[in-house]
Amino acid sequence: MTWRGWLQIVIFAVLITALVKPLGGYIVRTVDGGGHVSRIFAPVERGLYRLAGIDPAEEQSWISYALALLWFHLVGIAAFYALLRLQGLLPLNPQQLDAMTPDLALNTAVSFATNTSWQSYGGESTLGYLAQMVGIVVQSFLSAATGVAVAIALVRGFARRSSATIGNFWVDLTRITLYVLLPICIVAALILVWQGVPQTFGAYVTATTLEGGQQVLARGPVASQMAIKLLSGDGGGFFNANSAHPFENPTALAGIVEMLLIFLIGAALTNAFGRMVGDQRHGWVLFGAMAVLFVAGLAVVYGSEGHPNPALSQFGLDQAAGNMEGKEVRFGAGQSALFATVTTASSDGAVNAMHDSFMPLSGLVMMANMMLDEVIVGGPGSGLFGILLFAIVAVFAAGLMIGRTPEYLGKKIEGNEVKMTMLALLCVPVAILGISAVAAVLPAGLSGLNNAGPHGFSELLYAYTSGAATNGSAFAGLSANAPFYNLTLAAAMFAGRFLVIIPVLCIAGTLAAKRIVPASNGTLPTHSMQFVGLLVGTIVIVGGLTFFPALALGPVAEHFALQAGLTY
Amino acid sequence: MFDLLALGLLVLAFAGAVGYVCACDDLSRSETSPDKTP
Repeated sequence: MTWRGWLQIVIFAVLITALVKPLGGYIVRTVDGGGHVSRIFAPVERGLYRLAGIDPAEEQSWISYALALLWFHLVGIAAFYALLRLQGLLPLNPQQLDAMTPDLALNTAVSFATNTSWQSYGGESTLGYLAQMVGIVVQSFLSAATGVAVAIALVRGFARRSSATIGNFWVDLTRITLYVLLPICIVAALILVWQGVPQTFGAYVTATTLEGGQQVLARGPVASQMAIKLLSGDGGGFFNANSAHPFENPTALAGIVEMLLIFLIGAALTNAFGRMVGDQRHGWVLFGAMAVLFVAGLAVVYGSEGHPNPALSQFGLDQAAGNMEGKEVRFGAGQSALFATVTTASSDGAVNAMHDSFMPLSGLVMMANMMLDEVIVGGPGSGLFGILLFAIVAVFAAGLMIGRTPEYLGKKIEGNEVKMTMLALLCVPVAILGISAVAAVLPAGLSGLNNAGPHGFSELLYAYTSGAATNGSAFAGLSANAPFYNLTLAAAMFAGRFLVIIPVLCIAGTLAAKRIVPASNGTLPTHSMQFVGLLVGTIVIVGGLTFFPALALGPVAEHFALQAGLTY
Repeated sequence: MFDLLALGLLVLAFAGAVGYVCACDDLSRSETSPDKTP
């Protein structure tokens, strides 16, 4: 571990904390149609509503909201699928790349519509510019806006009293895209271009290397895709190497900006939540719980990567810089550890190092971050509604312990909310563990593994964890572009996204219909450090009980094997 | 042929999701008691 590594971590933590409050306030203003930016672009918003025949004043029940969301994504996935299958006939494809196979196209379309960005393909060798821009980028915007819309709808459930509606999906989607995502992305893309990220429609170029050989350099409209790739929590790279590629992440400053973009919306939404329920302390409690879990995970990852790999020490290698296998020397162990923790704690999935080469305990943290249901900042919106689900479990457990009807923010937490919360929280573990178990015994699943023993199992477990938690990062080492993996991962991504969102919207609807009970002496305070501890404990215990057996078979077993000199 | 299969799978998945919405709605109606909070 180096002082530069720690300095980067401190700079990142200070910057993201400083941005939470102003952006949280901005999000609340724009979602309600206020603020300077909204006023400037209001004609565009009104034009879109007229074009689509939407009455922005008409509010929706949770069922209408959910059905609108599902319909929208069904059309989106089908259109994206068609784009990928017809790529060879479409313009803006200077490399004349062929269409994707049907199973890969379905996997890719579901992946980006669910805000996952799992990529069973290499971007520069598979997708033309039209598919990257109209397919990947558009779905990145819309899937992120959907996540934020669902989170805002749930917060309205807490904030409203005796209401039959939770907002209008089309209005939320439009405003979040136009006023939150688009302006930030324009600024971020310009910063990335300034740092050296390409933005061009020109074809790939051939360069002469120092040795005199010829090398094709892929390029394209990269900066615009990078901005939304990071901000949206999608993480799908323009290039196969993702943010380890020098054209995606050229400098240390670009690296810090990319990590800030990954956390920005998810972190700011905690403040937006506090503002909407009328007490910002509630937002800081959620942010505090996220920070505790993030710092604990980062300490393990940097602690593991900042020290030598014992399997390499026996060869007398200089490992003063830490475990540098699979890492870019430009970033070192410090920024690689930070990036890996940020990208798995959020639902982003961009990578600046090869996660397969991290130490086993780092792999454990990365998987645990995703398994905890995206509650450590998470993706745009999904992090907030994920941690609010755990808050409901926490107040329910506390209510049982003190013998009172559980309440959160003045809303009684009753049987329906708890059942819906359980449905939402169990969906991801069922998808991860169930499909991993099937893949671990079927020849089609085992044939994709490139390693044996616990490391091979970790590759498989990581893939389905990444899919069901809508993260999208890959452990590497798994040959995932096969019909079995493409279809099962698509199923995991679909379940991990839509089967979580539906009960969340149901909770929003039932909570909105309730009155707000005034706080009394017997009310559990949910704006205190005590509640931070209760919430963190609930998340760790639920996550630990659910996933520890699977983690014991993978990274835990590999860690002890490595100490005994065994590698796989 | 494979395209039809893929799109069929997609439609089936979304039909299942719509069924899930209906099931959640039924469950919430049967569970939610009238709010008697004073």
